[in-house]
Amino acid sequence: MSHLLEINNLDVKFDTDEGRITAIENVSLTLDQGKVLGIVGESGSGKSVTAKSIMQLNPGNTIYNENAEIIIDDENVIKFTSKNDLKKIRGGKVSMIFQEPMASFAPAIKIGHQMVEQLMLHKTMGKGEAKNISIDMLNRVGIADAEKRFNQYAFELSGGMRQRAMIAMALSTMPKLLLADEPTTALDVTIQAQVINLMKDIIKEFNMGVIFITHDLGVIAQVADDVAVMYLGSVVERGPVNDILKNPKHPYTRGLLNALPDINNLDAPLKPIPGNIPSPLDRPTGCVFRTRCPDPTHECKEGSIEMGLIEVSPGHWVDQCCVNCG
Amino acid sequence: MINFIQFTLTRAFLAIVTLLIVCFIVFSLMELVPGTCAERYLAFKNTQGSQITYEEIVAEKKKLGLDKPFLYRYGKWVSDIVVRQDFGDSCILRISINELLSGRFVLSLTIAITALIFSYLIAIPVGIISASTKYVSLDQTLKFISYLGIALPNFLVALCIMLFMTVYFGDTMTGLFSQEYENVPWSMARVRDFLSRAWLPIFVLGWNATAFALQTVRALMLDENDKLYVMAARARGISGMSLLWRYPAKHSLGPVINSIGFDLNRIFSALPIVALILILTEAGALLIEALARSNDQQLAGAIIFLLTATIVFVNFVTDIILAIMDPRIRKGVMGGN
Amino acid sequence: MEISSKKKEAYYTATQMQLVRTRFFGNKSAMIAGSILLFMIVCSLFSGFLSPYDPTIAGRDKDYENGAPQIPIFWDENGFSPRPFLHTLTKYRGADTNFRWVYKTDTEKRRYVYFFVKGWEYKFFNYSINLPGKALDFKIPGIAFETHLFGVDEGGIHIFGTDKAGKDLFSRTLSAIYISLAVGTLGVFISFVLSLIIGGISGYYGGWIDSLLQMFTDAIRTVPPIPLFMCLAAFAPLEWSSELRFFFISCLLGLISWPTLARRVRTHLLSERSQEYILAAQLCGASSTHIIARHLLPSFTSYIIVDLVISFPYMLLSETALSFIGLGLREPVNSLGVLLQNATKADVLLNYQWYFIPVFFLVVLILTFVYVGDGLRDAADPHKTK
Repeated sequence: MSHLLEINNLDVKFDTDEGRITAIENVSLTLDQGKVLGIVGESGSGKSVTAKSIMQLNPGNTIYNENAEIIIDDENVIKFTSKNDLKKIRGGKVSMIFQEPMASFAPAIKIGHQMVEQLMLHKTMGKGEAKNISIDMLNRVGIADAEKRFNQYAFELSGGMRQRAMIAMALSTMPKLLLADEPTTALDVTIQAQVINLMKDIIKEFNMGVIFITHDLGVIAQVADDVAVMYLGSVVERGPVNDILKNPKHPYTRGLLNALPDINNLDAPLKPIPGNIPSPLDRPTGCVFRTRCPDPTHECKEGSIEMGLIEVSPGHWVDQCCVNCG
Repeated sequence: MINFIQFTLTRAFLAIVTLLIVCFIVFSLMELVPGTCAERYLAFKNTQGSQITYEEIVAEKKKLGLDKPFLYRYGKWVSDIVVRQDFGDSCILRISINELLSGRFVLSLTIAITALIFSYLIAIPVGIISASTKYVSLDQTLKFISYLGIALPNFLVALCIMLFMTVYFGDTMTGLFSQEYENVPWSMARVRDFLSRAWLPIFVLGWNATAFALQTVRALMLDENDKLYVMAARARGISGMSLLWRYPAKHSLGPVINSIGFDLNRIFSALPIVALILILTEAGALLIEALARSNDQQLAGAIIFLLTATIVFVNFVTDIILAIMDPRIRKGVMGGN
Repeated sequence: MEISSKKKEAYYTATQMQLVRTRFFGNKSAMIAGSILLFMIVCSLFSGFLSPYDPTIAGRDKDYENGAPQIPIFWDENGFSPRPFLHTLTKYRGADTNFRWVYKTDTEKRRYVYFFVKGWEYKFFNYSINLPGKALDFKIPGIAFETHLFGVDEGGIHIFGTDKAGKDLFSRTLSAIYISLAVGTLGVFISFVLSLIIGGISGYYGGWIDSLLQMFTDAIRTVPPIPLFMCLAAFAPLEWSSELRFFFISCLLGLISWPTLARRVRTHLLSERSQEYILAAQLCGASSTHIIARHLLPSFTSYIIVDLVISFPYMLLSETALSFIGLGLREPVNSLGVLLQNATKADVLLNYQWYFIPVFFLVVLILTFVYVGDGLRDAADPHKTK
C-alpha cells in the first residue's frame, strides 16, 4: 500500500543577508490516508517550513536540495513549476489551515466569496452550486445560521467560528491531505477542545490524511496517530504516538515530556531542558542536539557523528547517535 | 442607517469647522498686508497719473467699510461668502471678484481634476506591477523614473516642453485657447480647442502627481503582500492576476482614496506657477498676479479660499466614500446586524 | 557560506544605531546617492575656495558676457601640455555676425590654469545680523581667505559660462547650492522644533488638547502650500536686507511644513503611548519626563530623522519655486531658484543653454536626498525582512 504522502531527504535553506541558513535538514516523513501525523517541536524547529514546502509556499529566497522528494499520488510535487501543477497542490489535493484565522481571511471580502472562489477554481461548477456546497460545509463544521454567515466578513465572526469557517473553506474542495499549522494555538481551551473534536469527526468522515503541527504535546496525544519530533530543523524521533509518549528514546523527547507539569504532584519543581536553543546561524554540525544532551558521547561532542534515523522498534525511528547512548 | 446619517453629519460638521479656521487664517493674512485696499487702489491710480489726497484715502476707506473693526469685517466677509456667494470686489481692478473668477476657476478645476484622474490611471497599474514584479531591474527603473518625477520641478518640465515646442514646431503652445476662441461663449469647437492646448498643463501637473501616487501604491502593495491573507489565498491555489487584484490591490485601495484630497492639494499647489509659465488664463495665474504684482488681497484671499474649500469638500466626500467601501468602517458605522 | 563567529557576535550585540548604519551601508543605491550628496555638500561649504570668481555682481567679467562654458584642455593642435589651458577669446562684433557680440577664439595664445591662486576675498563664519532695532545688530567678523583652487592669470576661466552681466555661473552655482542647502536646513530645523512641540503635546496628552490641536493642524494642511507660501512671502517688505529675507524665507518654509511633520510625531506618540512597555515603566514608578526621554523619544528618533531627511527635498523645491517667481530670495543672495529665474526667457532657451546647468544640480541634489531618505527609512524599519 503506497503512502498518501512521502517526504524523502528534504533540505531547505534560506538565502539571507547573514548568509545561507539551513532551516531543515534531511527530513523524511510518511503519511497514510485517514491518519494524523503530528509534528511537534519548539518555535524555529522547522515544522512550518516542512509543511509549507509541500505546497511550495516558502518565500522567494528558499533553496530546496536537488534530490529532495515530496511524493503525493506518485508525483514529485517539489519539482512542480507550472501554474496548473501548482494549483493541484494548492487548494486542490492539499489544503492548509493556519494559526491565525483572522489573518487568513481577506478582511474586505465576504467569507462566502472566498469560499466560492476557491471551489470554482478547483472544480468545474457554477456559482450557484458552489454556494450551496459552501453553505453546506459551513453547516457541517457546526456554524449555526450558515447562510447568514456566508454573507458576512471575517471580522464579524467570533474566534472559534472563524476557525471553523477556515476549516470549512479548506475542506470544501475535498483535499486528500490537510496541513494544519498550529490551528489550536490561538484558541482558548474550551474552543480548542471543540475544534479538535470537529477535526477528528471530519477526518473520519472524509478519510483525509492530516499533518497536525503544534508545540502542545497534550493536543498531539489526543489527535495524532503518529508523531514526529523536530529540533532545529531535523527530525530526531518519529513513530506511533503511544510508543513515543510512553517510550521516548531521544533525550529531547524525554526532556519535553519531563518538562510537563505533573498533575499528580503540583508542588514539584518544573524540569526544563537545560541550555538554550542555538541560533539557526549557529547550527551544530553532526547531532544538532549535542549542545544540550545530558549524556553526550565523545563522538557526539566532536560533532563528527553520522546522522540518520534508525528503526529501534516497528515504526519507531530515532537518531543514530542516541541508539548508542541508550 | 441612522448611524450613517450621524456619521455624515459629524464629518460635515468637522469640514465646516475646518473651513472656518481656514477662513480665519486667510482673512488674517489678507489683513497683514501693509496698507489697506483703499490705499492700494489709490496708489495704483497714482501710478496711472492721477493725484490723490489724504481726504480721498479716508473717504475711500469709509466707502469700503475699512474703518470698522477686524472682527466685524471678518464676519461680514464670511457671511457674504456663505449667504450671497459674493467675494466682494477686487482691490485694484474694481470689478466683482465673482465675475473675474467664475469662468477661470472652473478652468483651473478642470485641469487639476483631469490631471489627478490621469495620474491615478497610470500610477495604480504601474505601482501594482512595480511591487509585484520579480524583475528587480524593472522595479528599480520604475522607482527611478518616479523619483525623477518628484525631483523635477513642474515649472521646469513646463519650460523644457515649451522650449522643445518652440524650437521644433515654432508654436509657443501657451495659453489655454488660441486667439479666436479667447473670449467667446462655450461651444463644441471651443472645447476642442481647449483640449488641444490643455493637454500640456495637464501633463505637466499630472507628471508630478503620478510619481507620488506611484510611490504610494507601490509601498502599500509591498506592505499588503507580506500579510498572511495573501499567503493563505496562494495556499488555496489563487494565482496570477486575480490574486493581485482581488487581494492586496483591493485592500490597498482604501489608503489611496484617503490620499485623493492630499494629492489634489499638491496639484493645486503647483498650478499657479505652471499657469504662469504657460500663460494660462485661469485662477492660478491670477493668484500670482494678485500677490506678486498688484498686492490685491481681496482677490488673493478669495482664490486661496476657493482652492482650500475645494479640498475640504473633496476630503469630506472621500471620507464618506471610504466609509461606504470599507466593510469594516461601514459595519461599524451602520451597526452590525 | 560560512559565517565567522566574530561577525555573529557583532550582530547580536549591536546597538540599534549600529544596525541601522550597517543596513544603510549595505544599500547600494542609497550609498551612491549618499556619497554624491556628501560631495556636493562639502563642495558647497567650500564654495569660496572652489570658485574662481565672486558670485555677486562684484565678480563679474565685463569682457565675457553671456559667454559659453570654457573647459580647460590638455591638448590642441600645438601639442600637449600637462598643465591645462584655455584659448584666448576676443570680443568681436561686426556686420558678419549681425552686430551681435561674439567671441573669437585665438588658438595661438594659451592661458594656463594655475592651482591654489590668489583671488577675491571670501570669509567663513562671517555673519552680520540686522535685526529690527539697532541694539540687536551684531557682526561676527569671520576668517578671511584669498586662496582659490584654480584660476588663470589673464582673461577669465568660466567653466559653466557666464550670464548676461558677466557673472561666472560656476561660482554662482556653487554658492547657490550652499544657500539653498542653508535655507533648507534652517527651514527643516524650525519645522522640526515646531512639530516636536505641537505634535508632542498633542500625542502625549491626547484628549481634547489633541483634538483641538489636530483640527488646527489639519486646517493648515488643507491650504495648498505654495499659494500660502506666496501669500506670506509677498508680505515681506522690499526694504528688508537680503540676510533678513533669508531668515524670513527659512521661517516660512518651516512654518508651512510643520503640520505634516507634527502629524507624524503625534501618530508615533499615540501608538507608542499605549504600548505595554510604557505601562510597564509607569508601573515601575517612572516619572513623565523619564518616560518621554528614555522610552518614547528613542523609539521614534529614527523615524523622525527619516521624516526630516525626506522633507528636505520639498523645502528645496518650495524655495526654488518661490524664488523663481520672484517672491523668495533675491539678489545678491542667490539660490538655485534665483538662478533659474533668468533661464526662462526665449532667447536664453535658444542661445544660451548653459543657463540650465544649475537645473541639473538641483535635480541631482533632490534625487540624492530622496534616495538617501528612502535608504534610511528602509534601514530603520525593524519589520523589513530584506
